[in-house]
Amino acid sequence: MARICLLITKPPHSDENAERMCGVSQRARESGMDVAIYLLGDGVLCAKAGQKGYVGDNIRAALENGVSIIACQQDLEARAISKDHVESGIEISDDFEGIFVEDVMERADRVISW
Amino acid sequence: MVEVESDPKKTLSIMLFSGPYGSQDADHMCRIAEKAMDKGYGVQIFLYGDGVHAQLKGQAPKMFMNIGEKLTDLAKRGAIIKSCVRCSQARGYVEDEFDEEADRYPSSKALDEVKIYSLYGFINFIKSTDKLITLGSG
Repeated sequence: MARICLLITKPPHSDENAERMCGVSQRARESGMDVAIYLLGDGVLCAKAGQKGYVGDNIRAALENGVSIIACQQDLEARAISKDHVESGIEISDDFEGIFVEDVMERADRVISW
Repeated sequence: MVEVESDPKKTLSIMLFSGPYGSQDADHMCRIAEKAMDKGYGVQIFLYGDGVHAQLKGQAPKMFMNIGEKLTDLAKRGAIIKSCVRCSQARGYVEDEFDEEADRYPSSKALDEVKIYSLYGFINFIKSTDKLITLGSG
């Protein structure tokens, strides 16, 4: 199965980047691709639990559909987002860059960043 | 996640579009590049648009990671770092025609470890890289 990594460093509601990422994720999954979403920098704001609207709905749907979502612990902590306030099912990593680099270089066929 | 043994021959390329301190993009670039080198991958960085300001000598941020120092460290560890000549020229870095011997456009303002190059430098990166990540707003 083809695998794609999606890296988002932009917040969920200030511009269209997170929505585009969600759209690509959904279509890639529907096409049978293995999808991993990486939340870095302001991208970790996409991990906050209970968000209403397109991004929140799509993050929850992605998790239900088997998409791996990994958030950078350092960037969550910098924004005072505790584990309790992260959407259930999102992995929090203290070695985010290590996991991301390994996935991109060894497992993924493609990587897209926003 | 399952640990995977790295292939030392593989190369990661990163293209940076943003300046060093207006966003976290350059910070992310350095963190990803460092980790890739820790894991034994080759790293190539191309600075484009406002990303060329990351090559400025004498950066002295008080509160942020010093991107200039990070680029110097990465280059010393073997990363290849190039910047776009047109973007550099537009921002006042380029002082003369291409120097064949130094293999870069001369600039006393840019870090010695960064080669100011034509966009063909980036094309060569694409040809020789396994994966490419772009960071920042173009």
